[in-house]
Amino acid sequence: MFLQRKFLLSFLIIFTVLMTYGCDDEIINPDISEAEIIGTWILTKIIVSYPIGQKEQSPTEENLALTIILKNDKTYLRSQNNKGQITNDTGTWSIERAVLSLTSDSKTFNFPCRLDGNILLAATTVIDPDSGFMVPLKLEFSKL
Amino acid sequence: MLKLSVFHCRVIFFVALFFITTEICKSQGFDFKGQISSWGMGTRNQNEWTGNSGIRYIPQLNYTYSEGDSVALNTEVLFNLYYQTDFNSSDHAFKPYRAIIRYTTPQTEIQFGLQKINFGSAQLLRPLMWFDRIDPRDPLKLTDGVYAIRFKYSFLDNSLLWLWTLIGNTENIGYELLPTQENAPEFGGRIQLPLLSGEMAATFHTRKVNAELYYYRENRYAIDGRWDVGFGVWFESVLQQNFSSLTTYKLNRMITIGADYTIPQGSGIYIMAEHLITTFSNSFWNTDQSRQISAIMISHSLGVLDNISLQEYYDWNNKNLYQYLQFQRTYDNFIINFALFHYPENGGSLFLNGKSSLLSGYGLQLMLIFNY
Repeated sequence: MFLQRKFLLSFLIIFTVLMTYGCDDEIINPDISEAEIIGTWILTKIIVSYPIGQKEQSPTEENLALTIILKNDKTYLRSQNNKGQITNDTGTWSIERAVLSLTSDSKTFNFPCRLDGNILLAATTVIDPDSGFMVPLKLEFSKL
Repeated sequence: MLKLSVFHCRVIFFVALFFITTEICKSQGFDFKGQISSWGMGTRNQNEWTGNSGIRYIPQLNYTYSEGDSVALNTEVLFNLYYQTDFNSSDHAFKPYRAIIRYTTPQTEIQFGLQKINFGSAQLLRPLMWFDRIDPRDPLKLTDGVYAIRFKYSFLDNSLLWLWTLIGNTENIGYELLPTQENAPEFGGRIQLPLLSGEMAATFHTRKVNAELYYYRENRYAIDGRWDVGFGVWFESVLQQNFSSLTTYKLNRMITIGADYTIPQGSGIYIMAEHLITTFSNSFWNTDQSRQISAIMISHSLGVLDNISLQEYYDWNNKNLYQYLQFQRTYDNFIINFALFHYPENGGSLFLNGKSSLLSGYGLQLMLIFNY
């Protein structure tokens, strides 16, 4: 019984230590300059990760159109048509270590990115309404 | 004239090789087993019937070396060879299913290789499904293994300590949505302690997630227990912590509570119920998103050979009901399994099989299983 308590206590201590210990995100390709990312970006592909693997969809399959204009003056314009629901918003943008930050109405959204020529890949996560899982999503944009 | 593809030649070669090796090695104390299964499934969804059919062969080679009653060395090698078709396209594979070297002493067990690691009491809704993907509807209970080293130590008071490290698993395992960073080992452990009329366990696992554009550390903590209080009760509680500022939610909690009871009527009617709550949040005390699923299973033996079971799942968020009725007749080496199912149109995602249309709608499945 003493040994059991000792092991359980050890596990709880390890749990507590590990829960408070963390490390930063490690960006794989951190080199994207501001000059490279300025322009008009149109969503061309949606890549969703499910437990059994990835599924690629075109925005038209999802009835979605998304354009983001990143301007020289560090402001952005987002135009979205999601199944007929049109959203336009503006704000400011910045990029640091390949993480694009879009700030609008004092809310900031961070997207790790990879730039490959005129193709920009941005990662995020959403809740899949069918499964209830938080699924990772990659959005592929082409530069106009 | 009969034309054989490279795949068919490979199949014939491995089957022939296996049977020849079996005959040679039988005389040297090896043990050979195998399982051949074949299935056909028809599903009606959106006013259209679709079909799926296939055959699977799992040969198994075991070898045991023991020194007295105390120390033993086992090896276990299984392959998974299958062909399936939906009559428009087909899929086939020949892949290792298990490849294990196991060394056991009276209180310890160490196991290397491609193996199944699973634990926990929940049967249908399993938060502790960390390293396997056993589908409760599958009569074969097949699941891919993980490359790991697993150590178990049994204390004299029936407590159990598990320690493991996984390496070389680049595909998603269990509930994982993103794979582990290549060549980055994963570590974990579990302590199981007897408590009152049952047992309780604490489990931990850590890995480095490959989110393709970035890596981050993921820790999982779990507590689970099972007791017999006239009927069986259990719970599994998992907290997954993402050490990333780039994921939408940092915490994912899954809690299942369950109970079972056998009604002493005839050969017994087994009833089991589970309820799963999944939540996502950024702080421990808040819940930003949640999902609840309930499940029941009722099974009854109709004589010595036959068993009938019903599984029902209800997704409270999407208000979807999933039903699976299974009849099984078991002979010595031969099993006939027949199932009727009814899923909602988006039903595939409940069972971790992705968005396959074959898991939507309603239909039937016949499976024949031969063990030798």
